[in-house]
Amino acid sequence: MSKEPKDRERLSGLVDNLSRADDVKLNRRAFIKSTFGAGIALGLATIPFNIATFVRSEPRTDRQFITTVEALEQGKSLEFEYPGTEPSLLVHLKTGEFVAYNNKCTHLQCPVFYVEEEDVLLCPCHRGYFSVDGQPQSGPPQRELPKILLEIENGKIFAVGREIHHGA
Amino acid sequence: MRSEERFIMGPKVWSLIGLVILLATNMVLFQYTIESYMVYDHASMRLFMSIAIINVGLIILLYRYWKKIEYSDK
Repeated sequence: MSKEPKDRERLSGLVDNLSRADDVKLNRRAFIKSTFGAGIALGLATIPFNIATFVRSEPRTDRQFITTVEALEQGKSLEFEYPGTEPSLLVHLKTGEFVAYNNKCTHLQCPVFYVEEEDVLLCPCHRGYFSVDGQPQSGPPQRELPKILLEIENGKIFAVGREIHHGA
Repeated sequence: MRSEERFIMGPKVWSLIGLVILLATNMVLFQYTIESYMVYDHASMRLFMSIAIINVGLIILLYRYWKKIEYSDK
């Protein structure tokens, strides 16, 4: 005689207390409760970041020498640290103008590079493009790069401040 | 014989959709808050936090509304 009917009986005994209708209902409720919990948690998670802003101090934006005008050719860029130890990028545009930005991508903080051929700033991590005026053009970044204010005096370039919002 | 049931978008379904939308909004706001924190954009951070807290209130209201309907069925 085959063992099959016996096994079937035993297995059906394991599941006879389950009801598909109840199972579906329980899953739906559990899903809504999880959605509720996750929504609350994510909303409240924004609070510690705001509290942290009162505790941490912004780096000082004192006047700082970067380089000389002659040292940086047109179409080239130079990395420097300003304010404090934050990485920044000074670009000598093809038009002859100098611009500088914090070179941390506003998406996930990857370094941003100047691409001379396309005259854009590129974040290679997720192919985020910024125009040379610091505005996001394409890719994931949604906000502009913080601008470093420059002063040129007697052929010397100085960083004198930083603007988080500098408009379109 | 069981008749064919017609699916109607009742208040329970709408509250579920609302909860999912609010969850998605809070996810995006949380991401924006972190991004703003990293670039010292405190004004935007406060705005995102305010919206997120309003969303939390809406989530609580919507959940209580759903719970009331859901558990009054039986």
